[in-house]
Amino acid sequence: MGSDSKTIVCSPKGLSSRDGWTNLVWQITGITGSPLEIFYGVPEEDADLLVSPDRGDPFAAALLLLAMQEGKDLRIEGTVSPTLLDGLARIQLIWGRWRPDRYRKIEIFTESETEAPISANDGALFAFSGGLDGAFSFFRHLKKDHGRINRVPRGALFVHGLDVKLQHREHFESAADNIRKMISGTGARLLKMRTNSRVLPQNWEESHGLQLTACFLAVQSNFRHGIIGSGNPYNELNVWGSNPVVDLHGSTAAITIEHDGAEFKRAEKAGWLAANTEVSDLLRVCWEGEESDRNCGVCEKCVRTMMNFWANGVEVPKCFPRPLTSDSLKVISPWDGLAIRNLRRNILVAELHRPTNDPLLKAARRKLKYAELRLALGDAKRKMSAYLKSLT
Amino acid sequence: MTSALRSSLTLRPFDIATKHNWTSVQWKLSGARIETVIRHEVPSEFDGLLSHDRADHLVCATLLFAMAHGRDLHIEGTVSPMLLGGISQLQLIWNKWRPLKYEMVSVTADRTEEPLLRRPDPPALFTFSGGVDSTYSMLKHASAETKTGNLKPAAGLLVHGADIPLEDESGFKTAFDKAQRILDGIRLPVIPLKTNSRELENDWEDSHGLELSACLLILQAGFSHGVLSSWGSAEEIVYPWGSTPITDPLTSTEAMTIVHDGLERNRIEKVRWLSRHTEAFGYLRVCWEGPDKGSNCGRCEKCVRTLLNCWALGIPSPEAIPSELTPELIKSIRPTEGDHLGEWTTLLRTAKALHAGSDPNLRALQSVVRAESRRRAVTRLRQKVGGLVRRRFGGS
Repeated sequence: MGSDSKTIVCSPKGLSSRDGWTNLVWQITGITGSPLEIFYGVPEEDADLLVSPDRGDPFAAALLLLAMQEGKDLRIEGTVSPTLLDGLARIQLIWGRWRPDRYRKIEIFTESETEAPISANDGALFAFSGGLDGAFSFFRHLKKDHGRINRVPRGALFVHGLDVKLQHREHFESAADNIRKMISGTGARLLKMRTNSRVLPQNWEESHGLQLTACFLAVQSNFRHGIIGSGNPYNELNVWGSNPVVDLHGSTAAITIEHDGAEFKRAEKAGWLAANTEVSDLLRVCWEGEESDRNCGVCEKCVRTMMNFWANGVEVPKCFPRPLTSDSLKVISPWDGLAIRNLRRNILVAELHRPTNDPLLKAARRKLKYAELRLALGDAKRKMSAYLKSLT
Repeated sequence: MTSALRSSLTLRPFDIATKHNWTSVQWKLSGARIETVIRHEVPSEFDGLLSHDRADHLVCATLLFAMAHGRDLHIEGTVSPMLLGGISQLQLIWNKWRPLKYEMVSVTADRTEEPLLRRPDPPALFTFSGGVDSTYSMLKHASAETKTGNLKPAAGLLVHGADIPLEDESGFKTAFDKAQRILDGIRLPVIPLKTNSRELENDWEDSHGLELSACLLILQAGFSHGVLSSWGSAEEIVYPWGSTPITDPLTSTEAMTIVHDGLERNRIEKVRWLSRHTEAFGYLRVCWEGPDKGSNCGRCEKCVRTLLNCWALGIPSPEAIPSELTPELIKSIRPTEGDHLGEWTTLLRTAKALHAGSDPNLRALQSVVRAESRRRAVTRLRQKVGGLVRRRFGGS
């Protein structure tokens, strides 16, 4: 079927084993470059964790935004959770409003609607790439620091094919070893997974939440909760692929998807990790460096994270290969509103924990003043030209 | 102050009484020099639906009160474990949104127990005021507009004590009759419910979602879903606000899932949908500012905005709004509250597509939007300059 079809069709191709991995494979037709096969794989010894080969939940989630983007209905030639179908209907309504220029409403057709078997134990699986947000959520629940909402961490899910490219096998294994060290002694196990779902031509910033949800759904009958660490706090929510408005709608009767930790800012999470765990030196937050299994120490995210720790008055973790100096701030562009907002947050925290004459704090303030001036001038210019335009 | 030192609030069962064919479930809130009885009442014909042995609804009704007063809350009764988890998360959210107003408190109960599980064929109870948002939500689901995500409406819940004060019996009677006339079209009942929970004097803009969830939860024995209608579409939603897609679902229990519905259309689109798909449009009750709470006053911001919705779309105004749209009426409004300006701006955009630039109503609408935008810009500037001066000279 060519890409001009009005329906994207997903058909089960069964389980296949290759290079020590067992993959749940479905064929996708009706999109550019199709037919193509999308898979969710786990190491062979974990093959029994995968959902049955005819369960289409992961594929319905992973393909939803693509189908909406192409304005094509989605036909899943298998069974799908009715809870998920209701949730995907709600996600459609939300994205249809957030990005009406990009996403159109579509229908999802299935062969049957059934729920996957529900796990007997109440354990939770945490998205865990070794970064700050995932590590914070995992250890906060482990240490029962979340009141009544504590989940029992039974697994840390690390997916190859999302932020680490599939061809970088050594980087993935090295990062996985690192995660194993981070969670050793916690009673939770590392669950490695691989997927090629990023070959689907869709916007990563908007689809990453659903693509991650798809990974949870591929093993949904073994865990009652799937936990996604938050990016932004509740008072700074924005339109983004993973947030507390949409994530919960990826749930089924077997697994609830929970967006965790939005009551904290990133610097607060760093402070908590430094005070309550030994894992800060093992964090991997970088996705821009040449080697995706370690931090480059110079990109905006590395510098931001180093500042998160510095701002709390604690040592910058050893996982960053360069020291944090005034020169490090050069990577923060005065035109990048998000980076400037992050810089401002770090300064606010640092003002509580660092001496006022701290050279880095002074340099950060100078940088912020300059950036705010540039942003204000740019803003005034835009407003002025809009006003002049309205006069004509 | 640590929770060990501060005095706490206690909720305990007070009475279940039937009087004049209304059954009232009453709990006493006491402690920290506060003593008040919170009532939720329904006509006796519906008392089989009441969960009078549980306190789930009261946890919702009193949470922000306890947080605003920094008092721990203990319930001498049974509460859903799922709801207690959701309440924990709600506290984190409100504390993050308004840290100076809402303090984290401890919420405990004598017993945690799941309520009776939902029926296999899930019927839904919709909060229903007879206004644009709730009428749209309920009739949309009744029409099964989409293949998935539909709920099966079983009844509308009209709360007396929310926008209509308890003492205004005749206003409520009028509102009830109008609401029932709308639901007659789909052969569903309106359940009236009286509550005095607003006597707690919570900030209604923050608490209304929780207080309405409380009214849904006291009837959880009969319905698997409780629905709160969204005031705006997904891109319009602002935080913090009392009812949002993030906070409302957190008041769910094992028996009743609370749904925040209607994010797919903004108000003007809901009006268009109602005018095209239903007969209910003529009976809408949108007003809460006029002297007669059961009817529309025709002069307040919401009444005028609804008239503008219709005019912008080129459809006749609902007969239930007793005034005619004129430039003078439009200019008498200042959309100063919350995100009203956003809605007026959307209205202006829609109206421009249909009406000529010389249309007096359009010009009046334009001038209101411009004046309010200017006022807000000046306020922002004043705040910025004030902040700058304070930082520079250290004034208070």
